[in-house]
Amino acid sequence: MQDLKIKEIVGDKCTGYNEGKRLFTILDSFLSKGISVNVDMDGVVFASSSFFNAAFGELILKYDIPFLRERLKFDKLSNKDKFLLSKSISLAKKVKEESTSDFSKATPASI
Amino acid sequence: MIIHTPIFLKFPSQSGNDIFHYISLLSEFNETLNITNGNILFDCEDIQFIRPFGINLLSAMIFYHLQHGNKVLIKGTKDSSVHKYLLDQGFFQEFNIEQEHVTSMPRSTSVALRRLEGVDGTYLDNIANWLNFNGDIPLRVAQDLVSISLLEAINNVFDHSQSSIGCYISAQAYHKQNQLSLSILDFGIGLLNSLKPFYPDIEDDVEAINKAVLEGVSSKRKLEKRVRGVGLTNISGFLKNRGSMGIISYKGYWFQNHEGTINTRMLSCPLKGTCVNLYIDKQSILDISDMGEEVWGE
Repeated sequence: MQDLKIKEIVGDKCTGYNEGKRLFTILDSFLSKGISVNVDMDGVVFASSSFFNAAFGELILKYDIPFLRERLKFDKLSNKDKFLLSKSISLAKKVKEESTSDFSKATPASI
Repeated sequence: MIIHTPIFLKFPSQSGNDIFHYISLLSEFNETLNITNGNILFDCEDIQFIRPFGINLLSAMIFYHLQHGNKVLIKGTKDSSVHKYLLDQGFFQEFNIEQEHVTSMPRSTSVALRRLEGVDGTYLDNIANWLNFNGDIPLRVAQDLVSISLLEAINNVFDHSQSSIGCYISAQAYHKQNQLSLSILDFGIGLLNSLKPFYPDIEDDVEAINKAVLEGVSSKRKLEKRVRGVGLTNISGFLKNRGSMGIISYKGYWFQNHEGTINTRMLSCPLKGTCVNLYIDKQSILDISDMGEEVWGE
């Protein structure tokens, strides 16, 4: 299990999409090798939906939910973090479903 | 267009948060948008009452004309309490207007007016600390509130609006009503122009606002095929039973009341930008700890 302290990686203000993308790259590097990650939000003062979208929403597009449930743990998530994270995950699921159905609708020629 | 005779832009006596009081001013202002090297006189003489949206609008209009090389003159209000309020809000300081005979005293009920050119962490800290000290809101709750409301609105401006003035932010606490009021204003392309290329079925500004508040609607999501577009949705969802929210974008007017009921209207004259006004019930955000969200969903 790899511990990741977000405050040390991004800082105490996770305000935008770019900060989230930086975290996504690090999370992806562990998860792609099957290494479980514990995300510690202790000391993070501000976090936005853009940050959660980029960091965790994008993981949903790449990995299956059961895999992420098992390999990705959260520590010191505030209620606001839970609210924003759950909204990002819900949206990412929708985006994934749409892209899957677009893909299945596509003809070989259009692929 | 170069015009030397001063053009008067008159602010209404009730310069509160109600957009319908500003329609004739907006019409006059929109006619001045192409003027450069002219003289613009902001007539504030009759203002008897001003609120965060009013001070944002006045400041944004002044900044716009200064940015376009115009000479700006301000005819001050006759009302000494409004004058003092503008002074305390840092309005005169924002435009380097000397006020020799009156002392400015930052108010506990409001945060100094601020123009942002990007997301500013120090400003977010200041707002959270103000909510904590002067709004009697625990710091952790204040920081969460800033994240869910103000930060989302600011990100929306800088991700989508292309506003040349950045955005103006003003905030005030109303202790008697137990309410906080936040106003964020830009002079950008508006929601319709931002969304229309990606959602061609949108026909007007009200539809654009309705669409923007839906989960997952974002020009960047369509463009980049990424997980984007829950900012305004989150503010709207969070404020249900915790406050109310108004969005004005060009001719579109959208208002969500405390219970979540939405009213929309088309304005007769556009605000050439987007404004998000948030009204937060202080008491109801103290239960921010009880949001009952399960992260992964079903």
